Amino acid sequence: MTKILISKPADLRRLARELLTLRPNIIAVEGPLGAGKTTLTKAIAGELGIKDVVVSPTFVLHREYPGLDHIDAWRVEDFEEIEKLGLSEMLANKHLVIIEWADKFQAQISKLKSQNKIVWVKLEYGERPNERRVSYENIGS
Amino acid sequence: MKILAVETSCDETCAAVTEGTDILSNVVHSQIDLHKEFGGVVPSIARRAHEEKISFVIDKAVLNAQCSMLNIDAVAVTQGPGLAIALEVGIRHAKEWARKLNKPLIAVNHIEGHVLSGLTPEVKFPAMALIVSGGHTELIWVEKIGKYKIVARTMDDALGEALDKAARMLGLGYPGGAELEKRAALGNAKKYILPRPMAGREKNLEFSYSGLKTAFYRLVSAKGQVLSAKDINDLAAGFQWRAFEHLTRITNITLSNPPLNLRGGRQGVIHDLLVGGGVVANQTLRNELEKLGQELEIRVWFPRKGMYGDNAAMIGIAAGFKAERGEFADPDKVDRLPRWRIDASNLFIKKETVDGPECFENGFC
Repeated sequence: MTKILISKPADLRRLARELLTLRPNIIAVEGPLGAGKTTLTKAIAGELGIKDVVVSPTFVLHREYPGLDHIDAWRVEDFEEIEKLGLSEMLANKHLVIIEWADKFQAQISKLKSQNKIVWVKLEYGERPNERRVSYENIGS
Repeated sequence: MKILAVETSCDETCAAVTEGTDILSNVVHSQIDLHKEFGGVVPSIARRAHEEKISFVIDKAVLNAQCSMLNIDAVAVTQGPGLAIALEVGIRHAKEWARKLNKPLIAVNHIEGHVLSGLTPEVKFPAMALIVSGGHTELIWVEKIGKYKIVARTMDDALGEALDKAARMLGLGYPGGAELEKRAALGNAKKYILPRPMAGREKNLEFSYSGLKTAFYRLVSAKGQVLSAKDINDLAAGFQWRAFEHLTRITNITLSNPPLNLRGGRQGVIHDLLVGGGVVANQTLRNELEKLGQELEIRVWFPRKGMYGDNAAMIGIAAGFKAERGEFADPDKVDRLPRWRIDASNLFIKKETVDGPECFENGFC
């Protein structure tokens, strides 16, 4: 597991690049409200060259961008609902799938590792207002 | 022209019958009612299980309108924006009915429905619309009915989402917006002053709630594990006040100085603000917007009760205007548009925006 401390937009961009160099199919993100899960997704989308404004998918559950699917499990009660969003099609389409609030379905998402490369990212508040402690690891095959 | 309208863009399963701007029926599925109607025996009526509920909701809309399917002249449906798998259910059923009845199909933008939900004959165009819901926070220039331009929108979270999440931080549960309002009414909004979103960058005409959410999380965490009732009231009041202050501030700047690049737009020509979306249910917000309207000498219009949140009557009303303009859809080609912007065509048009090539063919944005 890699652990880092970030505090600037440049740190976030570097983190996004590092996560992408692990070549994941799924990036599972967990962390408390306001920790920066969507902000990290924005940075990853930026590194992928996506020009669209990435906004929170909390209400709509899923937003699609070129090469990227952004899922938010905050309002989801059953993992089956995430499967119904078309998770297997997204992965089959070779899209990167980012799942926020992944810890709600840790067991089910972890099971996907036999077929997919999963990077699990945990965001935590640091001491200072802009600081975040980030840990991430490759749990896929 | 009697229109049967269907709306399944996210959580609610809705159907309505409208005639012009008259609403003959407006059925929004409520889980409790359905359980009651079915005698509590339906095994899996989940919140977003539109397929299980839609036929029942459509039948009820026609029944409540005191007409029959044979009186329907056109079928309208929300084509987007929304959740793809949810949109799909409404579109499929609307197409089936249009075919069965041999009547035209009208494809409507969900946000246009919200924009027109507070429409009255007194509204003068050009006008501005403000849509505030769980999934959207947008200021839209309305040159006339059917012609729109998004002027400002959220860069991260929607207002309704921010209110719900703040409520959750205070342990008030989901959906928390209503509960937050109740607690805020009992609290002192000036006890905790949260930082102003987009401070110094207001001219960008962007809404942002994620920084406010983060600041609130830190504030609540610093109060420790157990919050007193008074703490909760004051924190709720502080959050709600700042969230609305940001909304009215950006709205004020936009209304006082509308962007000059809008066709037909000149300073001082806007006299009407149409407000729509689920957060309109918040009385404090309505008061704040009324106040802003008085300050700027702009008339502020809210939808009638029952039309704040997602509903199909607003889709029927928007469809009525589309029918007048002859904008019917080809049932063989209509497909869901999960990211359809109100200012992008739903035809096959490639569109460039100021943000870059944001809209792709078929209105996908």
